[in-house]
Amino acid sequence: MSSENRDLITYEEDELLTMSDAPQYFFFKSGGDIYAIDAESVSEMVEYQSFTKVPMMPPYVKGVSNIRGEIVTVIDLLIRFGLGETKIGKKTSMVIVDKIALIIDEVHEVNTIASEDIKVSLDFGFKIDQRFIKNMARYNDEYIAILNSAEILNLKEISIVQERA
Amino acid sequence: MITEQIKEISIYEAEKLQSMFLKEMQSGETFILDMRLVEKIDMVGIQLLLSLSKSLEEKEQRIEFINVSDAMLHEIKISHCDVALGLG
Amino acid sequence: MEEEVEIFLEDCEDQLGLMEGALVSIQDSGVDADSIGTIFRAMHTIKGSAGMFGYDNIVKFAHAGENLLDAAREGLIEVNEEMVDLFLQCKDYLEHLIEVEIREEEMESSQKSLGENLVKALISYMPGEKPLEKSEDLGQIKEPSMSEEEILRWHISIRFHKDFFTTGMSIHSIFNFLNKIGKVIINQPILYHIPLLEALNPLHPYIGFEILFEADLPYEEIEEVFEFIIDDVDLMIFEHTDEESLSQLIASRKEDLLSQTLLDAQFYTEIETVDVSEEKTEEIKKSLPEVNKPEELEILENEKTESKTVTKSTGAPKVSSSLRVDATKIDLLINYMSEIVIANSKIITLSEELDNSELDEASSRMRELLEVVREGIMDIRMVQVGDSFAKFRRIVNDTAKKIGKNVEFIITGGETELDKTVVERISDPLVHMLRNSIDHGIEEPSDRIKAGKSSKGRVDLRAYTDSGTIVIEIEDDGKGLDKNRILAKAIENGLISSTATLSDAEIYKLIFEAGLSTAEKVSDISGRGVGMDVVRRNIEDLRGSIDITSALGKGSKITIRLPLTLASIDGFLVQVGHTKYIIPLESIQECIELTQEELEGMKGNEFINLRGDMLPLMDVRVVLNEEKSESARKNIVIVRFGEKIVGLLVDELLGEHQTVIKPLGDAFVNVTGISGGSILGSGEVALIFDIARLIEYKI
Repeated sequence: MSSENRDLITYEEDELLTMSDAPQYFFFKSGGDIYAIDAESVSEMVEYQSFTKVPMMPPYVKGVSNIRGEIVTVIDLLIRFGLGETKIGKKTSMVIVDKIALIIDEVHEVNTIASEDIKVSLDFGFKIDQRFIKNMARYNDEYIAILNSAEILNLKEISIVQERA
Repeated sequence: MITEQIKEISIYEAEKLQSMFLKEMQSGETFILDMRLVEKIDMVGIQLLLSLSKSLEEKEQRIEFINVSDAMLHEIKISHCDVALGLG
Repeated sequence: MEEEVEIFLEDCEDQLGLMEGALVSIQDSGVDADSIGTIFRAMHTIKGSAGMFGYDNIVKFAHAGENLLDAAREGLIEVNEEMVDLFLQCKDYLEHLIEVEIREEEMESSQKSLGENLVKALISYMPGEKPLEKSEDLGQIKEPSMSEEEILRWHISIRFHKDFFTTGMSIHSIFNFLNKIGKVIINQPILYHIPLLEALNPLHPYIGFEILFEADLPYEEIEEVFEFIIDDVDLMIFEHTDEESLSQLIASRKEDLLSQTLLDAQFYTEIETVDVSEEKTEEIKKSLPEVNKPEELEILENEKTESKTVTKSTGAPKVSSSLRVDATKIDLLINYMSEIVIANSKIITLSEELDNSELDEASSRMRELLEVVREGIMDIRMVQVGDSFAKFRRIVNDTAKKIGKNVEFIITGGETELDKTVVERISDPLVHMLRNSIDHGIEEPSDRIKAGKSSKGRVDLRAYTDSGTIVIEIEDDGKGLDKNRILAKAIENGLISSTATLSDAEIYKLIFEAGLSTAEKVSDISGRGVGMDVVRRNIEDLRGSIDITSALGKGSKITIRLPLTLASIDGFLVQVGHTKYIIPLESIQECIELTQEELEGMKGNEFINLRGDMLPLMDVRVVLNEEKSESARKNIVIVRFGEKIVGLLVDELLGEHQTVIKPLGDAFVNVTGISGGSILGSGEVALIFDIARLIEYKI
């Protein structure tokens, strides 16, 4: 992993830590919606870059990419949610969690969420699968999902190879 | 006289003890170190005591150890530093 | 576990391995002085290291063993079969004792009494000793026997490096240990460097020690006491009578008061001050940390060459290394190395584009040099397989003994080098196959005689290199595989259909399938039908292959082929659709162009006629779901794995590529036919074909 990027994140974390001790969240857009993910699980964010397709994998596993000398798995988050494919644009980015790069629309910010704004995920129909959501949170006057990265990146599930055409 | 709860004179406590000793040295009295509670001493600790003893000598003071357990004395004797500390 | 303890454990494991190797060699070919020496040294080293760490129980036990071995070494006693058995038991016990001590657990009482009995037994063999009746004497360590006139006095001078205290090593345990192996006559702390309290950095060592030490031991053994701290101290050890060394010491320490201190402490009655010029002092200082180094290296070299011949004949282990390096450090270097290789291939690409001949030349030179460095780094990982093989000797002997078979076990090619990781990972599979050979292959002695063979069976374990791969063979002269029984069993278990027609090789290979065991009686050695499939899987995970040939009544031969290293391969880059793939060069036979004629000749079949032979084709694009490419030309890369040959249909051939293998990630564990990825000069990731799996998939 690159030290530059590590530094960048550490710097941001440090800056925010002085503001509050509350856990940090990483906010980003995917498919036009805002999501949050536990900032501690994010090791870095990089610009979108091309990848090598790996055969036999589920459609959301796009392939592998070289992030500063390491091979990381590339997953399109939107396909994983079953909401179509991420449109590649100028702001398209990759968030790296557990050596897996998630393709997202754009990076938003790193911030805290006041504990009173966090609600246990409810059983009603949010557009993404309930199991991908850890909690709901109020953010800028709208409800957003705090993602359950362990479930999204469930290796047992994503490593199932597909039938050949 | 230092009777504070010194339990070990070791690498883990050395810096704390050093400043404690320095403070205590200001008093100008005979430096008495109560070893009653000391359970552990290592080479870092022994070196610290040697430095203390040297500093006191400089000021024509001296160090006196009291309640030194056999086990601690044995530890100090292994490195043959007992003589220099006046424990021999 | 703390790092030091880990090193201690590794060291003990090495020593126990050497001990076992030597003991088994004695069992096989009788007592020889070298083996006894090896066992003695191993025991002694374990005792020494254990002493350093204050593991007194290990010291006590090892000491009893060492005494008897010393007596054997001196020729005072004769080593017989019973004693070899005893030493083997002691080795096992010691192994257990070390584990228990490291975990700081209590030894269970049954083991404790076993230990006591072993010590009793050891002592009972001592010259002039009657078996001891009380075990309380066992705890006491006798001073090493020394005759009055031979007592040596040593001057040991220690100063510590700045970080010594923070390394966590204790000088106290060294002093304690010195007292155990000899007698500290004088230990004079050197105090004049200790600053006043205000100026003291309590974590820096200022103290030093001058020690007069009496022990009937050679220089090496005294130096060994300091083995674990030698990098963190300035150490000088010399005979008390060695005036020249004393002058050197006084000159090099640059301590004005040293000679007076030594006189005051009654080390010497007089010290002749030899005038040592500044220049010479520097020289001495430089040579200080390397006392005896050149000699040591020479010894190692000698032992190495000597061991090569030994390994060939008896498989006895050799002295393997003079430097212990953390494997992760090497991995890190390899990683950086691959980064450099990747960066450089970018330069090469650029220089080709720029068409600048000077830049071209420089970058090519760079590539050559990088290749040399890369090979050098890879070479560090390589170890001789002999060490690992020697361990098998005992397993073979024990197995044979247990089931009443008579087996001669012959190791050849122990000096063959292989990546350490590979060596570790083939160890268990090899053990399994060796047990199988003895259990299923070699017949009962009476059956052998009936079959007109010698009653003693023979199992060979061979290693050699063959065109970039290492080959390991296990061959026995037993009863061989019964094709019909394997076939019947396979049909019975539903592994194949009853109408299948299989070649001999295919039939033999069935023994590597799960759930096939033809052993008539299931023994506790092998024969449960699990295992051989695991063996195959293990070998394949190492990108290796396994084959078996057999002749009924004559024996079987298992041949394992492995890559020399796991970290890098010579590859051939091809393009299929939008993806670049790397085919390991070693599996490529040739590349041909698929002509329109041939294409038509295929008539929809998946094979072409290659010089009269049928060559099955695999369209990589179809198999791996690649998109259609624009390339009109088609190329065939003909790959071979073992006996199987397949043509891979690809779009473009891009040339050879020095491939550093990187794992693709856990998400891709189930993808067949791809073993990893490699980063190209362009930054792109290429996928590496696992030819064995790919071919298997095709068939």
